[in-house]
Amino acid sequence: MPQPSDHRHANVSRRHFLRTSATGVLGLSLGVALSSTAATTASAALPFTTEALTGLLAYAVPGDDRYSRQQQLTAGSPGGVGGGGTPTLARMLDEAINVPVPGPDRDLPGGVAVATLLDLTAIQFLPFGAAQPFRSAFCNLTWKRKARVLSALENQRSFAGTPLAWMASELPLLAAFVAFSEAGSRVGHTTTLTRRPAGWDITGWQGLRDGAPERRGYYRGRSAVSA
Amino acid sequence: MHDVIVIGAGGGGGVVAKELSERGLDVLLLEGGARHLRPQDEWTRLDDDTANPILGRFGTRPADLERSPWGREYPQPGWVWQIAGVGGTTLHYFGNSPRPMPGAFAGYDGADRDAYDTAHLFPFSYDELRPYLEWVEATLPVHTQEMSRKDEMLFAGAERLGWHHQTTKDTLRAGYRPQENAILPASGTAGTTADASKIQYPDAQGCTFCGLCFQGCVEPRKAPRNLAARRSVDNSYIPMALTADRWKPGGRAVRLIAGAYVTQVLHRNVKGRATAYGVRYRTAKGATVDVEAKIVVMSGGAVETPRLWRNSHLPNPNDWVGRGMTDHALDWLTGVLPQETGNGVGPNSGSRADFPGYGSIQPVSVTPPLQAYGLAFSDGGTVGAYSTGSTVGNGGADSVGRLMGRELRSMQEQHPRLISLVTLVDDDVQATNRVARAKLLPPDEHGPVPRIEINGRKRTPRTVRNREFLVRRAVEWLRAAGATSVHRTNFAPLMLHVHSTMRMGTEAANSVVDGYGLARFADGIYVADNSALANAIGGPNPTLTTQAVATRTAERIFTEHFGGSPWVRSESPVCSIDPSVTEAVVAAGL
Repeated sequence: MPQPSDHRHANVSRRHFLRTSATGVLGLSLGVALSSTAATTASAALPFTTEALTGLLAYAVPGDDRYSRQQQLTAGSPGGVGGGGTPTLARMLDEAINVPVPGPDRDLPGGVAVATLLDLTAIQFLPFGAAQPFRSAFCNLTWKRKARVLSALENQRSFAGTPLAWMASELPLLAAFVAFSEAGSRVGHTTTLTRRPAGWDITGWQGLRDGAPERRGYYRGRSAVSA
Repeated sequence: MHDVIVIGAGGGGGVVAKELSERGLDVLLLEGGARHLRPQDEWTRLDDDTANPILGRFGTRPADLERSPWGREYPQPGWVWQIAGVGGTTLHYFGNSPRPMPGAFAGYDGADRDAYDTAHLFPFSYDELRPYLEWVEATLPVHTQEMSRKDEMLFAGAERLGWHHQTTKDTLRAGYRPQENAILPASGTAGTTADASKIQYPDAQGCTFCGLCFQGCVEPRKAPRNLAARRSVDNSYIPMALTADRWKPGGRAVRLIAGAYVTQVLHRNVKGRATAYGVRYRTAKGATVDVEAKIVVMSGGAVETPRLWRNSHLPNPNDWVGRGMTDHALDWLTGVLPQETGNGVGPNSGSRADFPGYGSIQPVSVTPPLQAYGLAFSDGGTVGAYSTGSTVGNGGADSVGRLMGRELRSMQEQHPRLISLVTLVDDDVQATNRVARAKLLPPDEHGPVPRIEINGRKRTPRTVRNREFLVRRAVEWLRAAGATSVHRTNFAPLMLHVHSTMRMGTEAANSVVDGYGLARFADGIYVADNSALANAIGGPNPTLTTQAVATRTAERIFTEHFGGSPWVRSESPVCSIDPSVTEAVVAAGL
């Protein structure tokens, strides 16, 4: 019977974790506490952010893309990356952490903070001499090592009682939602799709419909019950 | 000055507005979110556009989809899935309208009377509420649900297990049954074809089995608004409230303002008591407006109502405003069957099993993104990768935890052959589970934002016992229905049902409102939404109970403050699909 294995401490010392991710954690902690008037850039416009979040989509649902190949867990058809949902995931994180993170010359949106946290935490799990085709350290990891990054975040005791604990637990499931949605295909707030979503192909989903031949009658012929 | 201001056009506020407009009162209904006047044109029903937990139009957000959703602070894993806008959270509910468990009410003397949250019972009897339940059931209306494939499989499984078939609306013992749903029964071509050209009103009437309850009901196409299949408040009570002058002699149409976010209940000190005289709201364009009324009804939901109370600086002498939140401690079990189950089509939930003293179980049939979300929303770490320290076991399932990577993809590839069950736990009122004021997030344009504090790992022993009991029954049910494997997600708090944050109770020491929803510590204020519920109602879905309690509150307002007579025991309700209502709705251009 598969059970979550116990990598609770992920072989990482607390001091090591804090040293490598202190900047991101501090920035994010401040970010949810402070408001700022400096200019803000949407996460989806920042390449290193989109790369890390795309790596998260590959982690959630592997496919036939280069991010999946790098993580050494692939599938024969498009997965989370192929769905094209990275900009949506970035915007979700920008809105979920809806106070900009103060930066040196301009404020950084929530998606950037998350990507930074993923990458800073990933550095410690990157084997010496490993190939690094991506600028994002998180994307250069194997799937198992990506899981260790997420474990380190979810089990980070200093997050307890803060929105960081919420954010760490939300990352995988927001990515899962995006991977199976029409996020990379829909046109504005219309029903128009530029292509069939990858998540629909994986699941055999027929898409929008106004009805289905699914009526099976009343159980035991009883169409009403007594009070 | 209005007679009554109702804050929030959701499952409770819509009921109060309709009932009092029918009695001829001058009712102003204020809704902070969108109007949703033309859903057949406006709603795409695409998951990312509609049900995206952060960005979707069905969220706690302004009507302008380019603006940010309203912030809430979560200091731990979890999510409250509510909707702002006319219709409130009923916009995505499944229409499930079971009655509450009698044991959740005062005076219950069944053999299992000690099995409930006896410290936090409703301050009146189940028999007292029954006429109001019947009134709502006739108004919506509520019907026995016709089966889809997955229901057939589950019923066969229940028969194999020897479970009792419940044939009454009242839950008198443990058993399974078709749902009692606020969904119009299919007739004509509805439910017989996927050909959109053949399932338009009037050829098709009632539920078309499209499977998209959660994305908003617009079926059958071309039907008048009040004849939409799923009886969310925007399709039932609100159209009636807006046309009360047309279908009810002596009725008076409600005035509805959407995009009007109430930021303050206005009150003054009268003889040493805070006494409400109106509200202040903020328009979508940022203007501030004060309006006055004799009575203020707070119906913004179990998160916004305590927030508004606090932000209005109303008294909270026992510190129970926002406390005692119950959420049914949901969990999610997914079975893989050898054959297709019709997952994702048909009513989102057509069958159920109830276990008095423990709670309920029901199928949840959803689209792939929501299925993935349900498989990932775990408090227990990721299968095959890591733990987060949860001590919850598999409960008889084959695996437990979050599915990611290969496991998630593999499960999702079997989407057409899945049946998912959700457990609805009769969870205890706990003072530590609450809606508080944010500590880190700054105020938004409406004031200090709410902070949701709930620790899924610190439930009471009875809640934990109930959850594990229901999980085991759910696993048994899935296997008996033919599942070859069963996975348990072990949900973090996914609060699709959230209640009792302004709870009514028998004691002033641990309740905020009395048995009629009247505020204990201020005058002129009633609460009529899920927050007023005394407890988790024994586990069943809360909407029907909230609507019945809200009806009782409306009747009380009319008799106590406007010299009227009660009606629920002496009149018959007008059904929301009555031809007189349809005629009024069409004439009003709704």
